[in-house]
Amino acid sequence: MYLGRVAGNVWCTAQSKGLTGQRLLIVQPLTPELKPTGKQQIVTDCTGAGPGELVYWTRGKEATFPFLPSEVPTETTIVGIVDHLHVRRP
Amino acid sequence: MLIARVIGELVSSQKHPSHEGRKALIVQPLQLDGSDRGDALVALDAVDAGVGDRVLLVTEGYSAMTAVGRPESPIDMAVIGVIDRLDFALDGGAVDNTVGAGGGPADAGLALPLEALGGRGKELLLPSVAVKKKAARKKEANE
Repeated sequence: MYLGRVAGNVWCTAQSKGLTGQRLLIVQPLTPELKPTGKQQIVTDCTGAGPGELVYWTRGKEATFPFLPSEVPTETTIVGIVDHLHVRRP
Repeated sequence: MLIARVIGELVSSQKHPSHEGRKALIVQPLQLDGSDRGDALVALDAVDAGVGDRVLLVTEGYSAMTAVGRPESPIDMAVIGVIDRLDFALDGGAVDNTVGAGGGPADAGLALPLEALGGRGKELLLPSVAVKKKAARKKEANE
């Protein structure tokens, strides 16, 4: 899983049937020091996260599992909202 | 699978139910020389690893879910082992037994000190080298 900050929303009028009812968010991947790293991603969400929140998200087929039994054509999904991070680099 | 260092923990209360009851660790993948390899990741813990441990990390869904014991759940990374020691050959030649241990003084205890083996450490670590050296010594003795 990867850390990220929700940076915004995406709306689609014409979309795959499987995406109906799914919220689409923009996520900026972050390092544990909360510095942006890499490109922004459009993700689905199973936690109710909103813009500005620190989250962690998963990628790949696993991203569709939270929505079972419905099959959602997604490859990135937010699976948790981060309360705290404790980071201690050596 | 990757070698990684656990550098932190992540606390989350609003998360997918399959992640409940498992520690979420922040892990920094490492090169063999102990330096960082890309960005740090979030992985679920399957072996009770802690901050500072050098661990084995899987970064693929099926293996991660299996290790954590939660099939069909959104888990794509898991810590599946705590590394005690690494031995590897550089350029097919000398065995470097200290570099892979993380390169820090704090890790010195993890590596097997070559001196402790009476200078025969390299032979013990690489059987093929030991065999070659033994053959060379035998040849020398014969001459």
